[in-house]
Amino acid sequence: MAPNRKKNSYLKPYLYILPAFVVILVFQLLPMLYAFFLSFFRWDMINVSGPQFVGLRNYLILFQDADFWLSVFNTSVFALGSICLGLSVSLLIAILLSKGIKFLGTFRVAYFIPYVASMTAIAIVWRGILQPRGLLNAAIKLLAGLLPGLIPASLTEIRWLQEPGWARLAVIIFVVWKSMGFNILIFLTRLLDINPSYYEAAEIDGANALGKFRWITWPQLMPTTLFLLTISIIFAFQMFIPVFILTPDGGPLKSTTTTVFYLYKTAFSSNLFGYACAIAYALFFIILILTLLQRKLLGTGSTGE
Amino acid sequence: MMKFKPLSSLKYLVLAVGALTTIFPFIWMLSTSLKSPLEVLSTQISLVPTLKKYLVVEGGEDQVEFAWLTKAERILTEAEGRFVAAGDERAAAAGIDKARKELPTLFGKNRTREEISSELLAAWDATSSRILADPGNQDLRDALKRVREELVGLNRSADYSPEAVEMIFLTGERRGKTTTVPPERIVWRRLLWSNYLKAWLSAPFGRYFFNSIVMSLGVTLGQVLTSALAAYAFARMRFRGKEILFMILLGTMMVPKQVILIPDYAILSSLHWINTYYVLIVPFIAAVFGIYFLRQHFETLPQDLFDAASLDGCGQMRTLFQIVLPLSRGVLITVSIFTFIMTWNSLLWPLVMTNTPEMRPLQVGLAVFNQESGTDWELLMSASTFSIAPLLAIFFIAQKQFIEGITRSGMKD
Repeated sequence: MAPNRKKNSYLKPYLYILPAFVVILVFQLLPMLYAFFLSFFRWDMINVSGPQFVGLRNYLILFQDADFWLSVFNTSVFALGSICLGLSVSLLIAILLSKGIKFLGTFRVAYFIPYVASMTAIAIVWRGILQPRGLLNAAIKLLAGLLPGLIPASLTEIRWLQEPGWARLAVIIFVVWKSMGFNILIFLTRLLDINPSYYEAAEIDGANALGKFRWITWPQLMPTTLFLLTISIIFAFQMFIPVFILTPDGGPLKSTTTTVFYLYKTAFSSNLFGYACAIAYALFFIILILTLLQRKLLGTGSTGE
Repeated sequence: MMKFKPLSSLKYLVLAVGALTTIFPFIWMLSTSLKSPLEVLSTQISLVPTLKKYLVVEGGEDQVEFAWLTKAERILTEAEGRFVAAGDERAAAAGIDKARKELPTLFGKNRTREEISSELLAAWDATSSRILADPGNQDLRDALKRVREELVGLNRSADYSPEAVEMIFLTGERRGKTTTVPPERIVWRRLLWSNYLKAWLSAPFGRYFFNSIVMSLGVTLGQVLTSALAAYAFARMRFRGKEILFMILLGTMMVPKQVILIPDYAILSSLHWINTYYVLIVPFIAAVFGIYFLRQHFETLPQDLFDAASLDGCGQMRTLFQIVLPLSRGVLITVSIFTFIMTWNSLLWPLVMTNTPEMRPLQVGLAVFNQESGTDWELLMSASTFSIAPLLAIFFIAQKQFIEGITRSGMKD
């Protein structure tokens, strides 16, 4: 009995992790390798002869594929725009909310609601708002009426989803609106955690509001900012739903086709599965480089202060 | 203190404007979902839907207009042209606008056509009297008189019986046709709740919801169970290769999930799982996020607890299910809510892995609906509303867990 029991307890931990591990192995780990393997093949899943080995050809084609680079460019524009705009607006609101405000709970919920709404449904609503006769243009027109002379008439009839530049801006506005609640919440939690005695000490030293932000708030927030930056970059480079709903055809002149959208179309419209795997790995590589780069640049920056 | 006050109210102003802007799309969604198709397409943007007439017809309601009101409007539109030709654009614009605005308000319930018609004439006379009194422009005065004659003629000429009112259909299949109906079949509506039913019936949304619930519940239950088991082993057991296995798991979080989409599609095709519940559930019944999150919590539980359990002869499995899990209720709820919502909101995977309406989850159904009913905004907004509502309800019920969960998982990552 005793040796049997001992053997049993030796195996036991593995039995506990087995269910999770099998699923992750079969549907995540092995497919990752399989995708890398497939990226060296030409494969349409219909041809009975199966995948044909083409060596590095998919990657060589990828390098010269203008549509792919356009998708990388679009994705980068979305990432840059939504991160710069999103994080700065969120930080501003989080700082205002952290100053012992009344109705904090109400404000927090109001800013947080877009994050809770499911992306697909709320993107449909935004497609309506962004129509030429939609709410956004009406709001701009209203503003133009209130501030005569400040807003040129041409800006009251923007074809948001029909012109490349505006379409990209529209996607950025939507993404910023959607993810703001999350960013505010994370910033706010950290801001409320900052020890008030730091500020008191700074006040004794005669620091003004700007100085306090520069020397206390900003460095204290650095890890949070880094975290949000990482999350936002990963999110931006995996963006699919907003553009799939706002511009189901990939946008005017493919201006809102993100890399994931391009991957989806390559695989499931053009049936180029091997090539799509090469795109997937290129995307993985880009995200990896950006994450490492960002960690290196900003990570050393924050410790240097 | 006094000198900070303006700054403080500016703070509230910025926050309030920001909050209003943030929630305005939701208000707009609700407002549009209750409008009539015509109002949705109109250039006049209104937040509160306007009061309109509908005729109760078989299979719902159809927006209608009094036929001769439409004629009266046409007369006014033509009059505008005539005024402009007569050289008084401003007077024309003001007079016509006023008359046109008063036109619809003249129509209330239970009013005869004579009453309405005479009021219309009175309104017209009132707006035009000032211009008529001005001896300056003979052409304009002639034009005004002619419009009045036409309005009077309109009242006399059209065949009319007091029991029935001539209506013109504005929407639906009968659009543009006129018919005579008894007044009691006309209903007045500001909010068109029937849009929700119409949207619900225009695609198999019941089935979509069912699929989403099955998928999200299946994934959540599976994931919480496998994660709890694995997390318990990683947190509380010693075994060879533990660190390496955990590092491998963490490593998979680095790889974007789009990378596995195509190989998984190939694997699941060969299993003949495409377009089944298996494909929506099984690949997700284990996730690194859950294991990581639960392990962190299990590690914080005091060792005494486990020593006591062990002394009492409590086996590992019983310790996990009867001691650890009940003590981790908050964390389990957080993980469950997150898994549920993430699954509920997923689009790309089910979009690729299902190909018939019977198997589509809600988000895919919505995406297809978005493409198929391109400009039926009142229906699109209704569908969006009833799709968003359940998650918002969960959020408001479990707000605390929700916000805690996000901050905790966010900060510790």
